[in-house]
Amino acid sequence: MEKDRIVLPGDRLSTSEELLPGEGTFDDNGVIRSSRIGRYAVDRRRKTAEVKPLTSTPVILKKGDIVIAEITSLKPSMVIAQVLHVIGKNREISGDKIGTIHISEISSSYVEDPSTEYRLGDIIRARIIQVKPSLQLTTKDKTLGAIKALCIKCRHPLIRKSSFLECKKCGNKEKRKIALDYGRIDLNKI
Amino acid sequence: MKSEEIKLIDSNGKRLDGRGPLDLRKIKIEAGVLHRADGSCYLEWGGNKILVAVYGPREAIPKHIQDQVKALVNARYNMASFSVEDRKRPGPDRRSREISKVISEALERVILTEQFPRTTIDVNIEVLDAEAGTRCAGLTAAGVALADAGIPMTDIPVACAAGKIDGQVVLDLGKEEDNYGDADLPVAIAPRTDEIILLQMDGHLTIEEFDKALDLAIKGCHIISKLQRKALLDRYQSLIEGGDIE
Repeated sequence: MEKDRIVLPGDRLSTSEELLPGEGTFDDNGVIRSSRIGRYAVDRRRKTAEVKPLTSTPVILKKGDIVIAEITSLKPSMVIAQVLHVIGKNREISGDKIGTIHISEISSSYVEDPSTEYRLGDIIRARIIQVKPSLQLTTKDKTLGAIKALCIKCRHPLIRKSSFLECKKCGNKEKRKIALDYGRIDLNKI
Repeated sequence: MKSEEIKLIDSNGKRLDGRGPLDLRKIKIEAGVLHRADGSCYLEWGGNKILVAVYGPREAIPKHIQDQVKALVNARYNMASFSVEDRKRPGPDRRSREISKVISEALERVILTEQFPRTTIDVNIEVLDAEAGTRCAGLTAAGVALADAGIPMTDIPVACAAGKIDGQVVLDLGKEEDNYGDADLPVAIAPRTDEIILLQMDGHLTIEEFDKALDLAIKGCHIISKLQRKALLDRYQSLIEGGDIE
């Protein structure tokens, strides 16, 4: 069996009697062919033919991905957020970007009302817990939660104080479910 | 008609630029030339200079154009105002809209669009310098750029033209041959299966001439397909060798 061979789209890899089509491959009437540029590899355990990409690949959201998202809407039992970026990826996201965070997935402690934890326009770090049939996120972890939040009165960035967030401009005090490193992240560098 | 005055094939059977009837112009392909695009390709084909950038798949906007089951392939063919002898008025016109449409449809045939519902794949084809056969050159470059972008495809599409000049069927028309020749037949194929994904004709051919020209164009496509594969392998082979040193 040839291994570590560089293959291009359309190249013949194996047959569907022998292996299952894995990532980067497709089944063409019983013949497994490559659909991208990469190195051919066989996963013996799962019996799949795969092509390990050499190019950058389209970003598809997967369960377990850590993402940066923006809160777009607050409902009584959930929060809706738009995924902006997947950590470690450099390309735009392909497909659905609108995810929901159920009230029970916001924080590990009891949440009565989502608007006490997040507000419109907050930038959060979240983990994907479901992609199909709908995109579901969670922030139930110390490292997950808001990484940037704006004052609801004057829209200026909130500064972290010991147990709350404070607006530098108007002194308004607010509460959020924040990530451990709130305020220490340069959003331009993610 | 000017075709009476200009001899496109001399007594030795050589064409104006010294090529034989079955010769292609010189082709140079380079993949991954733009770092802000998801995938890109620069291609020189005779006097044609073409730059292709691929973006996506990304969310299709406005939402009503989205297809719930597959990605849209949105190729945009554009000629630079300085690409032709007389300045081309910039912006889309009837010709470039037609070419954009036929190239989009050709690319859609090889891309596995059903993997990316509700998205678009944007293919921007910029013609920097034109010398006949830009749609073939553009599609050939688009194929390389799509592969460079890691977009799943069943094959790398490739295009080539054949035509008729001075009553003879020849491969890959040059500028004068295109202007004063009798017919031009651009063909794009998926080289693995020889499936025709684009076929247009300008001028007149008899059925026999058409068959001959089509065969010739497909042969040309296979030659160019090898160059495409070589360009991609060169780009990624060097990447691996560079990576192994680390």
